[in-house]
Amino acid sequence: MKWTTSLCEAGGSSWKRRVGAGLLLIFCCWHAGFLIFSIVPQDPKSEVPASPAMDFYRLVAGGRQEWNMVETIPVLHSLDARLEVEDEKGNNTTGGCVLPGWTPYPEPELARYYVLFHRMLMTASKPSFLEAYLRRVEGRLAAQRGKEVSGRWSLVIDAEYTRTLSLSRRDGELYVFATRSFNPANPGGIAP
Amino acid sequence: MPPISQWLRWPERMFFRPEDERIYAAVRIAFATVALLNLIFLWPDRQVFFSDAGMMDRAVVSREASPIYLSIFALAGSETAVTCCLLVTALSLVLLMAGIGTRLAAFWVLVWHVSYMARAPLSTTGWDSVLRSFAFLVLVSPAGSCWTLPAMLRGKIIPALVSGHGLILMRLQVLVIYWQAVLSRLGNPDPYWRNGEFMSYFLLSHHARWPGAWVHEYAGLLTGVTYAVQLAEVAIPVLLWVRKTRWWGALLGFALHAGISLFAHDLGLFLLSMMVTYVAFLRAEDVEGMRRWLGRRQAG
Repeated sequence: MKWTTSLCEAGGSSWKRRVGAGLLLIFCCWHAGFLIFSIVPQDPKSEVPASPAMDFYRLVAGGRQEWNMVETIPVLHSLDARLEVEDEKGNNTTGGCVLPGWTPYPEPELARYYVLFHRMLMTASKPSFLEAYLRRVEGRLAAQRGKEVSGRWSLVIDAEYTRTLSLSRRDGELYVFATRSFNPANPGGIAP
Repeated sequence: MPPISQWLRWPERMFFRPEDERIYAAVRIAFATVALLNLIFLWPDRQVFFSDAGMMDRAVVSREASPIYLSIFALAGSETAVTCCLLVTALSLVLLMAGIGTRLAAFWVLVWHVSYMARAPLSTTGWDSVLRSFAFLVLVSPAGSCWTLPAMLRGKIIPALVSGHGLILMRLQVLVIYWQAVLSRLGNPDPYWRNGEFMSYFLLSHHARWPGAWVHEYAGLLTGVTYAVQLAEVAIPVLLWVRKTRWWGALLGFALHAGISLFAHDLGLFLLSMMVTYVAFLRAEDVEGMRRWLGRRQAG
């Protein structure tokens, strides 16, 4: 086998190679330190502002894992989302809630759709995403059915929540059902 | 005691230790294959997640991004532009797999991973972060010419020894992935991981492939599995790193992630992404053994 440091030996004179190797070594030490620092978990309650430069580096280089699915127990057993629109005669019609194309919420569930809807609907830290989605749906419905559709539609979420093990062991009921509906007037959701 | 100059040279000796370039080639090929699979699974939903007609408002995504919104989709919002982005990425991944224009292809693949995670932050999953970290590490690793299409066409099959810095950083990244998961549970204690009920709840959730009352019958076993998972997360990177136990580490890690994929649905890409990271723990004798085995099969 032949020996080459590849990055460091990409042609050039000896001093250029040395400078290249030195820079590479500095980068390696920095990134290794960055990774070791990344092992320390973030304190969600910490009020110390993060460094924008470090955040930018993390945005590109990653570092931390984001296994949100197993941070704590998943409380949902099932999730279904749909749009319900009331027509001029007062009849409800049901449609898919996925844009573009009003396609239905996938069944069986897909991981990306689940995390999207879960974060949008059930994690209140970013309400602007849900509000923007509801505004967008309103705009599309108005373009298709006229402006009178405003206030006569809802995003309806049917969810089954897992009961505590002690309760479900006692009476055999594993889940409890709940429905919530959202529209631009009620972005926080209401239970009918 | 060695002189201080020897201590100062320790990082150099560690990062620039010669490694067989075929290990880098194996990581490159495995990473590009799984990243391409991820892209293929994203393809049907590309307009939903990335286009201006989709689920997430670009202005809101840009406003909420921290520290900045860094995405190629800032310039590509139409359905056609999104499709073009994915096609260019697919081409880059094929080039990366084949080792053609490796550095440029790896750069675009990193841009892709940063971009789609920034454009659709609500739909990112655990394996996206793993792939992005490895996209960065593949970019800064020696590209080499072994196991590339041009080298195979030229008939050049003599592997070189190259700097091992990329592999060291990849192995460290794997250690961070597992240990951060464990430490975050210690730092922010979760009652269900602590009392052993996590696995029972997980198997009753919508992630589970077969949720049902059977979970109650195996509560004791599942408590043991909850604790075993945490022990495995501590042990896997250590076993992988030690030369003598690396195959045991790979076996334990495969059992953990295959178990997750078996009992939960739609997490196959998570298993594959984690298996890509294990390739970085291969040693020269492993690839040499594989080469001999392939040679015997071809001869036989």
